[in-house]
Amino acid sequence: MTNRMSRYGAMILAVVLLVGLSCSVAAQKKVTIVHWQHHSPARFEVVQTFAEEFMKQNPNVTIEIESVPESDYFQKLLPALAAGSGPDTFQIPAGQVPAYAASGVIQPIDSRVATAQQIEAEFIPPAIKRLKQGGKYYGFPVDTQTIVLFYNPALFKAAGLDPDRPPQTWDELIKYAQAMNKRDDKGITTQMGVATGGYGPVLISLMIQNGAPLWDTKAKLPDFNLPQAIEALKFATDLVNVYKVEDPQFGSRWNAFRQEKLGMVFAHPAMIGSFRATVPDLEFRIAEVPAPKAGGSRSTLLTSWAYVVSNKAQSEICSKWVAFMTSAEAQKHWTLSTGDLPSRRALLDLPEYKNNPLLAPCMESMKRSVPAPWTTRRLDDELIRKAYQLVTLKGETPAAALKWLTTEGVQAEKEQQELAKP
Amino acid sequence: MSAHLDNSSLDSALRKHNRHEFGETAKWQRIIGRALTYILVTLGAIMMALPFVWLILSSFKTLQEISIFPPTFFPRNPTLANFTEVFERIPFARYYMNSIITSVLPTIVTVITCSMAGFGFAKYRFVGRNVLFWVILSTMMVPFPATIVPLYVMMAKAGLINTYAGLIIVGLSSASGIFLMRQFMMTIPDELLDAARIDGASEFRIFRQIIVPLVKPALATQTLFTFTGHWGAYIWPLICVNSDRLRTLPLAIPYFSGQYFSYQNLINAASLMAIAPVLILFLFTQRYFVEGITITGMKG
Amino acid sequence: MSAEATTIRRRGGNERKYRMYRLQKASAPYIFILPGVVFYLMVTIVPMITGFWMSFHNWSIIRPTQPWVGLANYRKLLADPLFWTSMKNTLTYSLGVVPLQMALALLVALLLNTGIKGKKFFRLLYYLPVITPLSIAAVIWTWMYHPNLGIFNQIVSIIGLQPQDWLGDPNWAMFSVILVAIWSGIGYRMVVYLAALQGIPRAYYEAAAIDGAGRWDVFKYITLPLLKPTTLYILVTSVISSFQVFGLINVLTGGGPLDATQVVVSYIFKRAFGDLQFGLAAAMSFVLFGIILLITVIQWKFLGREVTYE
Repeated sequence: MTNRMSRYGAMILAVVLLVGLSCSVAAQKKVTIVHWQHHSPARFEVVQTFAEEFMKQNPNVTIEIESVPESDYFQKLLPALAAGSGPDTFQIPAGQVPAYAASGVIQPIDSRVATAQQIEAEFIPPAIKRLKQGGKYYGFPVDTQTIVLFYNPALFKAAGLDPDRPPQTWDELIKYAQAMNKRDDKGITTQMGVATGGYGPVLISLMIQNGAPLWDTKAKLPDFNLPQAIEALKFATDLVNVYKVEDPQFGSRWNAFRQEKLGMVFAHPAMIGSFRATVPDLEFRIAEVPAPKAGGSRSTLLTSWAYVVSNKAQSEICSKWVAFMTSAEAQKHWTLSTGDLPSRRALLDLPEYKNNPLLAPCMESMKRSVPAPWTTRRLDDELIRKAYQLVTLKGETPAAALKWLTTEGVQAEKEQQELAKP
Repeated sequence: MSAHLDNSSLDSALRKHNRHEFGETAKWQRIIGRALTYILVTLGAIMMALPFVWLILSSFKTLQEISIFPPTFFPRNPTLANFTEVFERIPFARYYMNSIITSVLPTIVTVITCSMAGFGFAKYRFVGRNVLFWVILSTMMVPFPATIVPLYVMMAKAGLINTYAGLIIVGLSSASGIFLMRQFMMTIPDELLDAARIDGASEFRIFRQIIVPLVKPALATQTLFTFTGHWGAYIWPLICVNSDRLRTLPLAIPYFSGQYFSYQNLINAASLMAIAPVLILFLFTQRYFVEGITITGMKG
Repeated sequence: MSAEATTIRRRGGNERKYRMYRLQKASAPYIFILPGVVFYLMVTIVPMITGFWMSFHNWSIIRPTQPWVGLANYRKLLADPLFWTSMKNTLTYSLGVVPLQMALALLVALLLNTGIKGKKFFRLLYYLPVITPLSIAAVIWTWMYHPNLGIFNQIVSIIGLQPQDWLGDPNWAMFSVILVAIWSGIGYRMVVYLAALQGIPRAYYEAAAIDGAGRWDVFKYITLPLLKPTTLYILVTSVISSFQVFGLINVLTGGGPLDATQVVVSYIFKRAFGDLQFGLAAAMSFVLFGIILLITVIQWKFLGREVTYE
C-alpha cells in the first residue's frame, strides 16, 4: 500500500519536476548546486556566507549546503555516490583524489575557470601535489593544516625558561619539558612537560623533519625501515619511556593545556579557535616545531582535503563555485574563522599574518610543509599510532615497530592504489 | 496493585512458614536482609543515574566550565543560556516536530503490526511459519555496513530519499518486536482461546478482546522500545535526509560538534531537551505494569 | 477443533457459514502476520540479498564496475589476522556482557517487583542508562576510569590493589568496556523481565505458599520456568546485539589501545567506509552473520521448547 502511494508520489513529483525544469530552461539556465562537506559550526557559517555571496554574483545559481557530521561524513557520502544521487560539489581527503579521479566519480577543474598552470602559479606545491592526476587538477585544497608547537608562557616563566625563546632543537625540547614536568611524592604527574599524544601527523612530522622520505620511490610504496624514522619514533617514545616528560595516564592533552598543566603540545593550528572558545583567558603562544638538531629541518606534514566536482555536475559553474571557496578572499576568511591555513602563495607573506604572533609561525610552517606520499588514510593516524603504542605499551623497539608498520602500510597502500588504477 | 510477594497471602504464608522453622533468628535475618536489599538497590541506582544527573546539571554550565577536567558536578554559575542558544542557532522546534512525525506514526503502526504478527507466530500452526520466522530473525544478524548501501540504493530508486515517507517506511515493523510479542503471547494458555472459539468468537475478536488486554505490559514495553528506537534513530535519517526541512533531533545534536572542538554545553542542553519525551513515555508506560492480570481469574 | 466445528454446526447448521468459518480460521494466521512481515521484509530482504551478492564482488563502491571475484573476499578475510583478533574480542565482549547483564537485569526486576518502597522511582533510575546518550555516558565513565583522578583507582587503592589505566592498558581495556556495556543495558532487559513478571498468575505463588515452598524454590520452580520465553528473547537479542556492538566501543576506546577492544563490526565499518572495500566488508558481515545464526540456533535448541501453563 505504502509502495503504491510512494509510486504515485514519485509520478506526481516527476511531473512537477518536468514542468519546473522546462519553465526554468525557458526563463534562464537556472542551476542548483548541491554542496556537501563535513561539519563544524564555524565551517558551516563560513560556507554559508560564501554561498550567499556566490548567489549574489550569479543570480541564476542556487546553492544547497549539506553540512554532514565530521565522524559520519563517509557514511553519508559513499551510499549517495554509489546510488548516483550524490552532491555536485563535495570534499574528499587529498590523498583519495587519485582513486576518485580514476573511477570517474569526479571531473577535473574546468580550464575556463583555472588552468593547471594558473593553479600551479597560485598555490604552494605541497597543498596541490595530491590533487593532480594525468596532468589535470581535480580540486582545490581546503582544511589545510600543519603541525606547530603550542606553549604556555606562564609555565615557562615559572620554570625559569624564557617564553620569548621556545625550544629550538629536540634536545632543548626535552630540557624544557623536564624543567616544567612535576610529580607528587607518589610519582603521579601533576604537571606535564610536553605532549605529542602519539598522534599520527605529529609522529610523521618528526620523521619528515629527521630526513626520512617514508617512501620507496622505486616500488612506489611506503617505507618506514629507515634509521631517520627509527630515530624520530625513538625520540617521541623516549619522551614517555625514558625522560618521562609525557605521561599517557595524565589524560587528555587538550584538557591539560587548557588548565595550564601542560607546558608544550604539538598540534594543528586549528586548535587556536578551540582554546579561544573554551578558555578565553588562557595565555598561550605558538612556535614552529623544534628541529632535530641545530639548523635542522622544521618541515611538518601538510594534511588537507580537496573540494571536488562530481562528474555529473555542470562543469564550469561548479568549478567556479569550488574556486570561489578557495579564492584569496575566501582563504583569508577561512583563516580568521576556522584556523585553516592559506595555501595561496600570495597570502603567506601578508603583513597582517606576519605581525600576528600566533599566525606568523603557522605561515612559516606552511611554507616548509610536505604532503604525505601515500594515498591510504590508515597511515595518516591509525597505523602510526599503533606503532607508537607498540613501543610505549608493549616495550617493542622503535625499529621493530616500524618494521611492522611498513608491512601493514604497504598492504594498505597497495589496496588503495588498486582503486586508483584506471 | 499491592505487591504480591509481600502483602499477598503468599508472603504471609512464607512468613508463617519461616517463623515456624526459625523463630526469632529468622525475624532478625529478614530485617537485615531487607536493609541490605535497600542498600544494594540504592547503590545500584546511584551508579545507574549518575551520568544522567550529570547531564542535567551540566546543561546549566558554561562552555568554559564544561571544558574543565575532572568535570565539576554542580554548576558554579548556573545559566539557562544554553537552552535559549540551542533555539537561536538551529531550528530546534522544527527538528522536534520532524522527530515527532517520524516517531509517533511508525510506533503506533509497529506496535499493531508486531503484536498481530507475534500472535500469528505464537498461536497458530501454518505452512511456512518456521521459515518465515527464522528469515525475520536472521535479518537482525546482518551488521549494517553490509546492508546500508543497498538499502540506500533501493530507496533512491523508489524516489524516497529526502522524504518523510523514506524516513517512516523503514520503521513500520520490527524483527525484535515480532519476536518479543511472540514470546509473550506464547505464555497465554491455549484453552483460553479455545473457550472463546466455542463461544463463537472470530479469530480477530479473540485477538482484540482476549489477547490484547492480557499482554498490556508487553504492549507497553513494545511501545516504549519502539518509540525510543525511532526517536534516537541516527544512521538511516543521516543518509536519507538532505535538508533542514526533514532533519530530526538526533541529526541536530552533532551540529554543535566539529573536528577540533565541540560546544559541549549546547550538546548537553539539546540532548536533555531531546530525551524528555522518552522519559515521559517511560513513566506513562509504567502505569500498565500491573501484576498478575486476568489470567489469575481464569484458573486456580 | 472438532469441538468448535460441531458447535458452529449445531448453532447455524448452515453449510455456507461453516465454510466461511473454516476459511476464516485457515487464513487467520496469514492475515495476522501479513502486515508485520511485509512491512519488515520490504525494507530488509532486498538489502540483505544484495549485501550477500556484494560479498562475491570486488565492490569498491566508487568504481563504475564491480567485478565478480567468487570467494576471493572470503579467502582474504580468512587470512586477515585483524579480522580474527576482532572476532575473538567480540566473543570475549559477548561472554563478558550477556550472562552478567541478564542475571543482574533479572535480579533487579525481581527486587523491583516486590513491595520495596519507591519501586517506581527505582525502576526509572535503573532505566536511565538506556536513554543517556552514549557520548555523555562516555564522559562520566572516562572520568571514573581516569588513572589519577578516577574513582575506580581510589576504590582499588583502598582495597589495597594496584591502580590501573583502565581504558589505556590493553590488558584492562576490554574489561572496562564490558563494565560500561553491562551498565548501559541492564535497564532495557529489566523492563522486559518486569513486563513478563506481570503476566505470571498470582495463583501459582499462592499455591506454592500453601505447599510451604521457600523463596528459592518459588524462584526455581515457578518464576524461572515461566520466564523462559522471555529469557530466550533476551538471550537471543542480547547475543545478536553484543556481536554487533559498535557505538559504545567507538566512544570509549575507538577500538584501541593496540586493537585490544577492536570488535568485528567496528573493523567491518572501517574496511567499508574508510577503505572503500565494500565487497570485503560484506563478506566479513556474512561470516559474522553465520556465526550469530549458529549460536542462535544452539540457544533455540536448549531454550526454545514451548512452555505451557499446566
